[in-house]
Amino acid sequence: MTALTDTALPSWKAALTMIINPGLVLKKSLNNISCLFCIGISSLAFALFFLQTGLDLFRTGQADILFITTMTVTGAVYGFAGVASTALLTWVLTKPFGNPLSVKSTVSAFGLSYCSTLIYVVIGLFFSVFLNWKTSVAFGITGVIWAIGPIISTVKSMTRDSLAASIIIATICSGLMLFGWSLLGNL
Amino acid sequence: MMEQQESINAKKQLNRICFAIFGLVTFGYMGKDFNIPGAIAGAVLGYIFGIFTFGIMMGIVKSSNGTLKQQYGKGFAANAVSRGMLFMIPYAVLCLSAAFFLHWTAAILFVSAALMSSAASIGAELSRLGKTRLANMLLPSLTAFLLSGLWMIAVTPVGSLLGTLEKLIVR
Repeated sequence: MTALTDTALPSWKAALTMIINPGLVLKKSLNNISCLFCIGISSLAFALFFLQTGLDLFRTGQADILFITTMTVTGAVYGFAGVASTALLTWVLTKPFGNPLSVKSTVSAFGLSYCSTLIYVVIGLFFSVFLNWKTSVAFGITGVIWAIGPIISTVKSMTRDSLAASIIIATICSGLMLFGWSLLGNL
Repeated sequence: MMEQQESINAKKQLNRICFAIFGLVTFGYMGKDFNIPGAIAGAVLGYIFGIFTFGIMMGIVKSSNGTLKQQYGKGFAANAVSRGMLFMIPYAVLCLSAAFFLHWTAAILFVSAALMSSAASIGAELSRLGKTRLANMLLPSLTAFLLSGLWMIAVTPVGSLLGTLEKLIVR
């Protein structure tokens, strides 16, 4: 067990471990994973989430192929810039608590937090394409909600276990990402 | 000691309020429009479910950590569970905001994620007290999984029962 926790995890394993044991990734593997890989996870997750929003609207005749493409690109940008901005905001907010993480590590941790979202939206895409299901809320929102757990753990370690601060900051960050989707979807 | 007990009680109350919010959203939005009697009944039932959940989690943590009990005394379980379950707050706040502002009423998604996340936090709290044990990560998570299953299964019959009761009272 000790040997397992002392060794840095490979990128893909760290991404999956972030879902069940974020603390382990934050302690051992964050510095060894490319920041671009991490933010790529959230970017891809939101791209597929927004794609499914487009597909849902396409089925009801409210959208065309151009709209779906625009939504997918918007999702990718949102997953990249939105997550990075939220991470940066969290880094600033947690600085007074003695945040031990660098900006790069914070962005990496936030990006990795969306690994569960990515898994959900990949499964959702399957149901959307092959079974014609409306999946943006059932799978997309579910995935974003499941990302809150790793975000809470990240913020908790950034505030050095300050309960009140980590709960407030995690609520703000998760809310920004969740409501941002609704805002962009209504534009 | 007294202060610690007060802090645990406050955390317990917050945890129950989270469940009350989940109940309010679940049963308040069962029909087309927001149903006030359903919301009130849901909040009360949610609060009771919160008491039940806390008790179950405490039982699981206490019974699987004899060494920690000897080392830290009886209060260690209440402290770890109350701290861990505080992490339901972000989910409850988002669930309520999503229902009111965006009309997303899928409270069950928030309930299961909140339960699983707080179970992981309980495991982390226990790890802080002693050696990291797989049982402390798995048992609360398994319990949370079963409790969210229970919530999921109970929603439809309880909703129907509340609807029937409401009709009887209105008549």
